[in-house]
Amino acid sequence: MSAIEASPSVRSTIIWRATSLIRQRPALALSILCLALVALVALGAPLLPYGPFKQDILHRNGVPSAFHWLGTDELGRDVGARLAMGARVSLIVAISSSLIAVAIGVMIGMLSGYLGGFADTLIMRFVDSMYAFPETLFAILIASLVKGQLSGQAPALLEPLAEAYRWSGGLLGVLLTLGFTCWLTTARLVRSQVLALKNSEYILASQLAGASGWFIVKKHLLPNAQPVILVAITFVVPNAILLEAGLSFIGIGVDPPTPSWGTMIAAGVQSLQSYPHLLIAPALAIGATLLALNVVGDALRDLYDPALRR
Amino acid sequence: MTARKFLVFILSASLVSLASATPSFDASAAESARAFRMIAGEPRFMDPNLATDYSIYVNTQLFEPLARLNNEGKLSLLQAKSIDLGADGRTWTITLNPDYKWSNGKQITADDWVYSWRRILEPKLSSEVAAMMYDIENAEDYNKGKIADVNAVGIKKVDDFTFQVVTAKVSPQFRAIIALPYLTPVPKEVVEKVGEKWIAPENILSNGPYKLVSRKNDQSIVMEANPYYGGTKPAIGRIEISIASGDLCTAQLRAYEAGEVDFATCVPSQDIPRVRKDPTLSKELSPYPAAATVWVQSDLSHAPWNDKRVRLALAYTVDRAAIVAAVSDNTAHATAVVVPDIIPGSNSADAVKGTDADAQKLLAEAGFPGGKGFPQFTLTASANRGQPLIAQLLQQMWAEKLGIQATINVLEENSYRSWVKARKTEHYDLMINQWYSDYADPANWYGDLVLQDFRNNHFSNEAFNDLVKKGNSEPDVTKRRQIFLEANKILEDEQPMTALYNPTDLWLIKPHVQKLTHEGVLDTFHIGEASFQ
Amino acid sequence: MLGYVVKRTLASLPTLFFVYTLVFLIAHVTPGSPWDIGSNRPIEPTVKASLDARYHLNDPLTTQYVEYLASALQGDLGPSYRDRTQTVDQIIWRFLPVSLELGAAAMVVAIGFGLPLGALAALTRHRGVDSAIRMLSTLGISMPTYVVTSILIVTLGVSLGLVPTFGWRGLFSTSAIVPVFSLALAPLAAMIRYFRSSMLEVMHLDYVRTARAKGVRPINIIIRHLGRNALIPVMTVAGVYAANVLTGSFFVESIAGVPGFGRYFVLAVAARDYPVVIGTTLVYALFVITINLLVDLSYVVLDPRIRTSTA
Repeated sequence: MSAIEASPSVRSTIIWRATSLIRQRPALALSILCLALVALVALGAPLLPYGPFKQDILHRNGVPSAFHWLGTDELGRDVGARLAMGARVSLIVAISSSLIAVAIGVMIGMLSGYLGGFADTLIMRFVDSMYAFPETLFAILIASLVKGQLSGQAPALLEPLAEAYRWSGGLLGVLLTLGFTCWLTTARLVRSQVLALKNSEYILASQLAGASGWFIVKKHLLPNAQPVILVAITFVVPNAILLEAGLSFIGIGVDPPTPSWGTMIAAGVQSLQSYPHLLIAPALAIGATLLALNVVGDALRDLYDPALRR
Repeated sequence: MTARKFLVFILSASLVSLASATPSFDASAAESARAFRMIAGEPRFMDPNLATDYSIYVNTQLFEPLARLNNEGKLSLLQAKSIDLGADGRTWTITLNPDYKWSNGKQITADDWVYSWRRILEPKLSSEVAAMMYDIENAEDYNKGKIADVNAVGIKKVDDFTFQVVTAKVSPQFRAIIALPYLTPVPKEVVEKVGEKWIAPENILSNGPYKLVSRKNDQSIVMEANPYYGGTKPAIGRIEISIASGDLCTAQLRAYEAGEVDFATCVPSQDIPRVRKDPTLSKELSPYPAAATVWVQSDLSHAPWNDKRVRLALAYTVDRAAIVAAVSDNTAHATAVVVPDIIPGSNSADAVKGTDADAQKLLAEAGFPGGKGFPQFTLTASANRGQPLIAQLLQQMWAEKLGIQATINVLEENSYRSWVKARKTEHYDLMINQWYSDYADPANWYGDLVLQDFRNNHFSNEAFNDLVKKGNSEPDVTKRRQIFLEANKILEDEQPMTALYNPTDLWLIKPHVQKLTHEGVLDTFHIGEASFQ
Repeated sequence: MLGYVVKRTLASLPTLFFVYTLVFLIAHVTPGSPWDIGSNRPIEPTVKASLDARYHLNDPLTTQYVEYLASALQGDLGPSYRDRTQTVDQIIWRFLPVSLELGAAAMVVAIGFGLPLGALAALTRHRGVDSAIRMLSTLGISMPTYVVTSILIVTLGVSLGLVPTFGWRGLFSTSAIVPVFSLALAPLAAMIRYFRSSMLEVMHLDYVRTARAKGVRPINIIIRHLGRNALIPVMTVAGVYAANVLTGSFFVESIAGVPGFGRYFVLAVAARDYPVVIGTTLVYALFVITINLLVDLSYVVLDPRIRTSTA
């Protein structure tokens, strides 16, 4: 190792850390770079020359050219622009479904772990039965239900939700579906963490001092469960992105014309023999992103606790 | 430990696979007859008395009706020796051809035919075919449970090979109905003995060129030539159908290109350009203009769709050329009138015509200048048949030219059909829909589709309704056509539906298969009339 | 041990009950009636009414819930609404074996290739080999299954003609190649990663170092010491994937034309075929519960420490 002194300034420490990361774990560095790129593209989507919605029937299904670097789709829209917009959608999908899944999972995991006893058994039975429920089927049923209730004429009670559904271009339905399907792992992980922490001394001390359950949860358990929650997110996000692609294939994904990587892949598979470029771009995008997410997820898991892999 | 685990896995896998590793098709029989291979969707019903949908394409090989309607509108006889209309214009006397026998050699008699036709109308059977027989005297009442006595229905046996059908009033469209492939007989003895299970391969009897040899639900159907068939014996001895679910067109094209099937009934939209340009495939392509229309319709029961100016504005700004190009690579036929021109009464000159400027003016007159103030509206479409593409095209056209923004809602096919039927009492804004002719008669379009409002358009026009009712009881062919031409004018003028295109069915037929042709308004195929080169 | 099995079996009953309630509710709340789901024309109200009456769909939900449960407990899972000449039992017995075959083969491939590759990745001193194996395995789970299946069918089937593009001719035919491979990708990736990491953990333990110091040959170390202990997390992962893989994947079966359980499942949902949906969900749940039990039992066998504590 060359004589790089850790100089006092923070900036060079970061640079030192970064370069040693790139040297020691190139895959991880590349993955982080990839994810940053995706986020950048997602944010910068509106800056691209061709919008994702501009149709041009005469030049449909065009192969990559000087004008359209990734080609055009079945309605003549720029694939690159749609891919960038789709990155946005995938980002929103990843973040929101994680949030929903984590919110539900943490709530249930906390409740179950902290309350213990009969409540714990009951809740865990429920979680077991959810595990025993086939995920794809659940997703399809929920998606059909949500679409049926929120699209078109919704009952008065659900009207604001329906409004949000329309505004989001059908994305809300997908988010709700994914959130409801993905919270299981989080619940289990959080619960085992809470169980592990419950008997530690400072918790007991807190209880003896008269702290309410709610206080303990907020001040002690939640912060300590953060690593677990983070690990759970690394499971949920790739799962959510893949599930969205699956729903799009069946036809219950995001409503057109909103582009998402899932709908682009599903459409690309239809054009596989005639216009392979329509599949290659979104497939590479999803593949690279998921690969990066998995590598980063592995690293996070290794960092926090190797035992958590179980 | 590891080795043992492996052993257990391998053993169990082998046992399971040995137990159920039956190949899809019986190897021994395949050697005796070269098979015609194709892929199809699982028929909803193998019982010909029950279904009026794509099940018919499979059932047509097994069951044959009395006659077929040819292109001149005349009946060419099949299972019947003669079909005569009595002087009263209501009594049809049908004499059967005794050459025709069931696939077990038993004679087909009038008993079978009368039994079957009455069975279709039986309320308990809940058959979709029943509605097509409502012209028959008391048929509708019996089917809806208002009359209990089946003998009151106008279907009666005269003797062993003759039966009579009496219509409630003079119904010129009944000629087309007699030729429907759904009105085929079922073997009375077998059905009475085993009930619903009569369609199992060990029980089923068919009167057509083929008989059912094996059927594995959702997996495969195998047919072989019916040795007792009374017509020309089929040249192709065996048919092997693999059942696909999901995307039929893609599965068929892939199998066709790999040489695994001899025939494909559709080409996926994105592959049409490639197939048409391909030197080999383009020669094997067999297009057929379907007697069908795809259109976009609005819910006339509420504003703003009950305002004709709004509907016309939307109609004027539709670019059909773009739609036909994107969805079908220009193989479909753009049309601005709902009823296809093969149906008497249709007239493309009735189409409403207007420029984009006209449309904008109309929209302004209706109270939405430049699209301002136009309520939020949803355009619903099915996930299949290119409808999402059409929806996106329409959305873009109306946004650009009229300044109104549609929200698209795509539903999975079954949910979509369900949703459409629920619109009978529920509101909606716009939907993309289609109608394939059930039979080549104006009654199917002006009557079933518009008057009976099967697609829940909520369109009702007194003059139109009167004309249709008059036309349905007019025996004279020319006068009838005149009446429907007038009705067509009203229909197009009011624009409850804006027609987009007539789809074209695209078949692919391997060159070693001869004489497989498109037949009739339903575009059925008769493998019994085809042959291998 | 027997007590453990009995206890677990009893504990699974409320789970099944929960599953039944959930699927019953969701199925019946989804809009759409099973009778007119495929038809071109709207169904006559009288016809719909008579069908509803025949299958008790007009009864209040609670009545239907209890009645179906009662008949299911007696072994009668009801008729299929989509194809009224078949019962749910017949459908399950017809399609489940194919998915089982396919799934078992996929698991065999996943374990058969996953364990050696995972071991190789753990034991090799070559960084590049380790990284390559891990990268390739992750690729398998970074792509929606239907994309892999479609690409394989088009390249191997249509372009090269090596496999049939559609249909199932038994496990030991070319038609099984694409489905088995597609299904095996996810568990294969998991096997490689988990076996590798658990081997890495175990590798540095004292008794292993002792064995190496004593001069025991590496291959024996692998089999005797590492193998048994490293298998525990593998069993967990295998359990998680087995349930999914054995009951079939809708995507793989649909695209490749395999007449399996997974494909049928989704067909039934689309057709609002309540008895089939409920029946097949219960079968799936049974699978998951049974496999979990088997996996937990295998821990007992594999790890003597656990054995003594549960006895």
